[in-house]
Amino acid sequence: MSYAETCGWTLLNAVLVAGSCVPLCAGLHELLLGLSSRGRRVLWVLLLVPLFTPTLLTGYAYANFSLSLLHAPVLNRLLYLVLLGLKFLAVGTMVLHFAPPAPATEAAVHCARLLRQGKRRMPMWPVLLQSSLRNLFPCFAILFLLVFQEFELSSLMVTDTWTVWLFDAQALGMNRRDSFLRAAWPAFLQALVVIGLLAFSYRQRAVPTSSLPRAARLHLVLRIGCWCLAGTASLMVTILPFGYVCQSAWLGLQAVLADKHIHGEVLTALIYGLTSGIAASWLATLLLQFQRSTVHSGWQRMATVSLGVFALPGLLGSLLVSLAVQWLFQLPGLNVAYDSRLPTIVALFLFLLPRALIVQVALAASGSQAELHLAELLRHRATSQRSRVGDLLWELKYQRMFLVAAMLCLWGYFELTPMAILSPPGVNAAPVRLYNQMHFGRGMIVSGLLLVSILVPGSLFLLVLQVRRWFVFDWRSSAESGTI
Amino acid sequence: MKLALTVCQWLLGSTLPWLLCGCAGEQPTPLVVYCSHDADYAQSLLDRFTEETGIPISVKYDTEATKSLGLVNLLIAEQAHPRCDVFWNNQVLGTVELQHAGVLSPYKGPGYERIPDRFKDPAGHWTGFAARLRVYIVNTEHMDATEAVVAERLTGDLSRMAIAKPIYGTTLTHYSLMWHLLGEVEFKRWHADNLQRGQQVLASNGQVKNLVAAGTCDFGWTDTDDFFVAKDEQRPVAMLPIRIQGATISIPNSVCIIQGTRQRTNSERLVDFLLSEATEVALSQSASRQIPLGTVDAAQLSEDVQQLRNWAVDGYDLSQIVESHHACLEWLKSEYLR
Repeated sequence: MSYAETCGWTLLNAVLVAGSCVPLCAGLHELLLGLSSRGRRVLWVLLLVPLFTPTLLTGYAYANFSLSLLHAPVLNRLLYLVLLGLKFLAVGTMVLHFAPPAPATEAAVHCARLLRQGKRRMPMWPVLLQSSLRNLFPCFAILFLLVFQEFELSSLMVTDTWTVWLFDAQALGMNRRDSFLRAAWPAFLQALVVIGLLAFSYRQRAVPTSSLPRAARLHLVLRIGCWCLAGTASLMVTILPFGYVCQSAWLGLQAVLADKHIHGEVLTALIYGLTSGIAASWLATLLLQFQRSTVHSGWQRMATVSLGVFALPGLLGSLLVSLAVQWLFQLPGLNVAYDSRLPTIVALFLFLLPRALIVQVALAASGSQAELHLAELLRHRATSQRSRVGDLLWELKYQRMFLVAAMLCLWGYFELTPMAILSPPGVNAAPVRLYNQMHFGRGMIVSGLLLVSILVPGSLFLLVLQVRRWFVFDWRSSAESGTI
Repeated sequence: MKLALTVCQWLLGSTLPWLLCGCAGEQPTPLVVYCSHDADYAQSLLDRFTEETGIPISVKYDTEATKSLGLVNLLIAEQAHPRCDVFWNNQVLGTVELQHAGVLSPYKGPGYERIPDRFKDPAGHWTGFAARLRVYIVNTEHMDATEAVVAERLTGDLSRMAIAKPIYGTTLTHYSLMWHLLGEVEFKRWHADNLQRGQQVLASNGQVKNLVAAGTCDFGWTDTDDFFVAKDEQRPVAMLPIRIQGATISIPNSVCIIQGTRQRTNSERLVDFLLSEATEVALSQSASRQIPLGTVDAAQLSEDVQQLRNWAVDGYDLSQIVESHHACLEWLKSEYLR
């Protein structure tokens, strides 16, 4: 298949998955609106678990089944698209759920309909564009970008995508210049979508939003359907692959823990993931704050375009980012750091930055700035109220920042290409070993390694949450006893 | 924001030295080895070398994630400022390419002497050891694993035969040899004919093994190390050596010293260690059953390896096909990179 055809197929994949997922995400959003807080929590868990499941795990579990569909390539591609859609449902739902209410309320849309029936026919589209439909664009755009960039699953499931094509081209010895020229078109397309998103996010905050979220009105059958959908996502993307891998987990775990190199390899991947993920999350927050704080419209446009430019390298995909960083660190001046871990961190950071921007854009639109401002004011007020401020600020601000950073760190932690290409001699990372063991089909070791690779960041995540609880509890006790 | 800033500052402060130090903390300066052999087997051997000699080693492994684009290209890119001392390649052709690019420094030690001439460079730029064979992997529930049956199947519909993409790895070596033996015109005709008859092209030899073991395909091309993974899992598979004009395709590992190494003596010691009888025997006893090329005590070899050794005797001298390799690769580029 030629590169142009492959790009076309990937584009079609992305449009199909994003297009099919948007109504599903809208349904899930409606369901969330009508649920109790406990129900919401359960649904979010069902949706978020697939998102946080390493693609390597899902890909490995389905690789053999996918191969068995060799004589039915259409079915194989369908399976690939379904898995991608289910994995990214949470992202689309988050965008819709956390987006601010549309400026045109349902009542406004109803009035517009009534007016349309009168003598002076008014066009409906301006009102519809300001209704809740307006949030469908960022939802579609983010899903589109995630599917369009995908590499690992398509590689393991033998599906043609532009990312896999470029990988093969590299293997055949295509030079860097040609690779970058080829990658420029998909990157340009993605940059357009990112700039569109950023522009949209800017307009979003400029529109006064006064309406309250409305109650959900989802038919019982659709409610059941949405629950089944969320359950299927968890089952197919996480539970079945995890069950498949855990068949020989105990023996595998013993074998892996007996290996004296494994601790260092997991720690290496963890620090790669943490440093690049936190740095990307932090810079994305700063850049967006700068964009939002500029007043002059010319500067605003420039800031928006600059954000797109910052995101551009990462949109080339992790392979090309790694090769570019490798070339950069071989130049005089920078080559003093060539033998260090810095090139890997830089490549991971560049790869994660567009994702960080996208997620921050989606979440920046959420929540009420007024509530946040009040909570900040409360911090400087009476002692009795201050004891609750920690929880409040956590709910309104830091929890979101923490989750974004955690998600980016996890993506960084499992992104093996920069680690494979750029790690200095003697520094090996766990995902690279994992990928190799998957290739050689050593099921027992893969099980053990996967468990360790998932349990370590998972435990760290829970530990940080627990430490925060202790911290807040301690702070609250001190505040209530009057020592603060 | 303040919290995020504090966390970032703390992380940066605590990890910056770690980020910048690389592996410089180890004393004495470790020997830098680039290795494309499977890390599970290579690491234990390199650890043994360190135990025996006290020379520490820092290894950079090639990965399936980067396939052959990894270490050979990296060594060429680093030619002006080499950091690698010894390269342990799991193939020969990439190493010969490095030789032609002027990346290698010759060395003929005691290890070199024990390897037969057709598995080493006459000038000593590289030396082969511990080989694998290209084989047909056959699902024994679907067809008989005999040369006659395979030959018959090769003349008909190939939709149940699988091969890996010929653009990298041992399948590229296999293709290069076909180009060398058939000539350009006949090779292209053969390739087009295979595809037309439905031959399945997959991402890797491992996938070929999986498909045949599962019975989705009846037979295919793979390497002996992949075959033995399926055999050890007690899947219904058998193997036959692939013969082209009577010759088998035996693909040795190769080891070489990088031009500009700062640790010449230690590099030579490692090369001799890898080319020793003990290393070849150890690799033959690993799960991948590598075939010793030098003289070894036959009593230490398993039945599987003894059989492979008999087949490897007919192996083609791959150092003769470098030009065909280039020509074949150029043509594959024009086919795949449209």
